[in-house]
Amino acid sequence: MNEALLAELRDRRNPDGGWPAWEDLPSNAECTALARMAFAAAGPEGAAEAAAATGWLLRHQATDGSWSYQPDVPLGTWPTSLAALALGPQAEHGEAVRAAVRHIVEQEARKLPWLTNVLYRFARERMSVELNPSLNGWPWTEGAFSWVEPTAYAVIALKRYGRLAGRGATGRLEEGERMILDRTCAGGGWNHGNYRVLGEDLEPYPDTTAIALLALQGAGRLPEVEGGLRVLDRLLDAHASGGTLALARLAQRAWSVADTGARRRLETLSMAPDDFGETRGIALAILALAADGNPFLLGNVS
Amino acid sequence: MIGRRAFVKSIGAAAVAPTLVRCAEPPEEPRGPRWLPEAEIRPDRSSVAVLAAGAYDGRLTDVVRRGLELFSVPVRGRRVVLKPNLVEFDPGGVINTHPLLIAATIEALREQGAGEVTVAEGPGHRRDNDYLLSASGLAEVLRDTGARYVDLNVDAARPVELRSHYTGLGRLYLPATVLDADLLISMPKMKTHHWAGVTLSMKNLFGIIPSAIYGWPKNVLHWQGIDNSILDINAALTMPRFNIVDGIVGMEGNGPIQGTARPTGVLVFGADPVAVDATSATVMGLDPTRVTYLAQAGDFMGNVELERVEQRGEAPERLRQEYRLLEPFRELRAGLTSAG
Repeated sequence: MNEALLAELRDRRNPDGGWPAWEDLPSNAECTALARMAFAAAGPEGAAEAAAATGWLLRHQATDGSWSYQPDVPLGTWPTSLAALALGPQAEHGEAVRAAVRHIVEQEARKLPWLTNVLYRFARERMSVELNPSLNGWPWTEGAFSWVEPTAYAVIALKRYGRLAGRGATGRLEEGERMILDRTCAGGGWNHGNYRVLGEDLEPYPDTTAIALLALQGAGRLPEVEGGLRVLDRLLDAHASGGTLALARLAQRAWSVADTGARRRLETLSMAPDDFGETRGIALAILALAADGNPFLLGNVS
Repeated sequence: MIGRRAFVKSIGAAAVAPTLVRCAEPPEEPRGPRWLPEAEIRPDRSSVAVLAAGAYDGRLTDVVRRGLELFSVPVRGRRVVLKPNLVEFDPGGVINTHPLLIAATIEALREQGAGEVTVAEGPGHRRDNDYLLSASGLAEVLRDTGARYVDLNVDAARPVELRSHYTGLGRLYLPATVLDADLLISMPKMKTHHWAGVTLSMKNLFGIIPSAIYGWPKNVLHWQGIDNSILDINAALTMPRFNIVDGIVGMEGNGPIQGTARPTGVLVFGADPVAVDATSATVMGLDPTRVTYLAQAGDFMGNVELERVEQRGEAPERLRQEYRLLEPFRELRAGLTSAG
């Protein structure tokens, strides 16, 4: 366990028991969920902080089972998947996680008019944004279209805990996987979710690529997975931020890819934890460097 | 290069095949006025200054200083927020407001007694600000100047009731850093835009929308229509504002990401964002009254007709260039007849 990063994450806790994106900001559901995962992975030495994060999350869950990013703003419900992953279905908060999983299964992204879907089906390569809009993933917030990152979080959460929602989960997560595969960039990897606009290919991002690879655990060594892993390795040369390196290392671990330097770079960055960057990145780095106890690594879960 | 219209027209379905990014049918036309009386702030006349600036070099501070002085911008003791355009990074591209212009502006503001200068942006596509800042060179500027940077995508957000009704959203959650500013300076890149025609001071403020709430890209607003969103965001902001357009090297063609560099050699200054953008569009060779959101903003927010804009610097027509446009925006070209 990286003690320097744990100490930095501990220092960033707000008095309300949650974690902010940066110091002096209010606590948010994403950072608090990731902090809970990180402290839970630390075992007994992180128990107090994990309990604080649990308390914050349980206090701020909406009645429909969701968590919004900022508790007093009823939009941006994408952290619901992260909160469910962070809490897990232990007895004391089993109902909270069941409600969250039900919300994830029921939440649908905005759909295009049927005729537009038909046009995409028959003339996809001639549309200005080239993708399959009929595949229903997850939005960042209610009423928006499907994008890669929130879809990936939802897929991971359903792979872990979809059984809590009954039959509906399997169909949703399978479609979510298809949606992620559909959005693969031409040379491999993923960006926010548009791979080709106005006839021009858009570039993948390493952090989104890593998150998509985490979601595809259990899908087998598909060409999209192989391509994503190759792209990730290439893109990391130009990316030095802790959060992106951490996500990349997590994805490499998920796919049993040897460390190509991300771990060493993370450890170097952790020597100056004040400068590490966003709280999110610190929590992810703790998880990437931890030996086990990582909700993002699905192991035998499928 | 294939224009958007080539895609849409080729399937003979222009009316039903908008893009996923711009795919929403326009919200229903609201009944009644589209803005509240308090949003009607268009002055009788506005002032803009187009100043020559040949390169991103050490002389920029002088140009910015002159631009601020021409308008007696009140900065002493104020909390100033600079909102550059930092949307993506392409090593061979000109996507973002140049960091040296941001550095020059910080320096000029401090010389004039600004209380605090913060650089703030909410990149629309990427979450990794550390990467964008370091790759774009802005991190170095922040380090050298000691200016604070705020990622608006994750800033504390507060509800703001809208003063216009183009999107029909009624309210937006906006970042506290922007809402608490004593002076907000929009610092866009002079660019064409493949959905909105041009992106300048007004469109640049799309970046203040917090993505942690609305998503990357700011998808909820895209569904409500980009033009509508530009109008509602700009009409909602009540703090003093100023605008500095980076037109030293602009972008033409398939902007705002994949266009090509267009050296233009100007900075455009002014307090009225509509007048600044109308002037900038003129420099780009466009008729600003044909840019949908500028024409609509000209009804209540600022001056789009250049007859109502006093030019305190170079005459924009004298510096006019012919920015390359995607086919669907050809009708924006100044001097074309409506059938042209």
